[in-house]
Amino acid sequence: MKQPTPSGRREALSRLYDETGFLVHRRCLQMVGDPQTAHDVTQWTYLRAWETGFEVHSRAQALSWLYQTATRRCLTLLRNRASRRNLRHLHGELLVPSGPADAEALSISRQHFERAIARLPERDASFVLQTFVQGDSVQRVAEREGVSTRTVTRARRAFEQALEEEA
Amino acid sequence: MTVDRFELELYALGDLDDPDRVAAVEAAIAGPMAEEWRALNAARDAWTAPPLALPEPVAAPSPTWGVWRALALAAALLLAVLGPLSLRPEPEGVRAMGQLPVDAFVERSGAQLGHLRAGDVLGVRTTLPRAGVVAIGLLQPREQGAALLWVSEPAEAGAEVAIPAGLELDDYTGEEWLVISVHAATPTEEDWAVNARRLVQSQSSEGPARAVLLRGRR
Repeated sequence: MKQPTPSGRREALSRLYDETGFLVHRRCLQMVGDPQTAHDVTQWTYLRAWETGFEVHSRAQALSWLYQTATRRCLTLLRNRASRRNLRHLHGELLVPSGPADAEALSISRQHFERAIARLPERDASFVLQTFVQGDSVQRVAEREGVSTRTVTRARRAFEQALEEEA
Repeated sequence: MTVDRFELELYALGDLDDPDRVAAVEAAIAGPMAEEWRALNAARDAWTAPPLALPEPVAAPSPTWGVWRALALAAALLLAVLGPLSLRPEPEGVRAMGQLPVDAFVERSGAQLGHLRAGDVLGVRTTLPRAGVVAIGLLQPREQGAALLWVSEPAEAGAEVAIPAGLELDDYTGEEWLVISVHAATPTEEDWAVNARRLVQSQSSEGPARAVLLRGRR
């Protein structure tokens, strides 16, 4: 198979950023709650794609990779916040004000959310972010991550339990 | 399958081809996902993309002192995990991979490395000694934490495998073990955690020296 040239890859990635950056940024914003941090993570994510030699075959394939990578980055930031016990006080703020229904229904403060997330194993936390916060279906995340829907569901249950304990 | 956000986004990008799925998305937009659709379009309209500054592609790194120093330090960290494993009896049913040739590198603004610190990205690559998959995970023995972070695609013996995005170090302050293992087939997280924990416990219970080396921050 013909390998793309560096300039071709650069163009493809730049075009992808122009076309899909708002989607990655929007998901990051919902995870970290801060526009500037979300911008930083978005840029970082596309830079990682460049640095790791990621090749764009389709936007769907690329978005899956970008979302996974951005989620991991946001997760690190969230866990750092929790582990430093330097959580911002955003009492009353909904987790995802304009997000999917189940996330809205949680109606929890970001502080509780971050503490509960920090208690989960990293991979489970990633599943929770992708489903509860980003609004992807359990099946979608299971396919993206190469695990069973049961595994994702189990992570969601663990998160709900952690939330209850944090409340 | 109900419409989820990813599908809605593909529709917004014009990348949804299946007519049935298009119809499903359009029905969702007219109903339960109307607000999500509005928010998605508002985000697109408001998006002012800061320029993406992609650095020039870098050829394979030359063995400069800085690179070797980075490799040496990171390799020391990893060997602290992997090295002793080959010297000690392995738990029943678990084979320590102390002979796995691993080198590692640390990114920090392109070069210059002092002590490992939060924000560093640890790259890991290895050459498979036999056909299988490489699994990389973390164990926090005192907190009973275990996370299988990444499993490679199956590859043949001799294949070089590298974790694609690296491991970013955070400011966790407890003891943490990075476990790199080779499996004949993709392990479940549960199986991996059980075996990795047994392996680490068998190594960490016999002396403080390694624990000192490993008690750094991930």
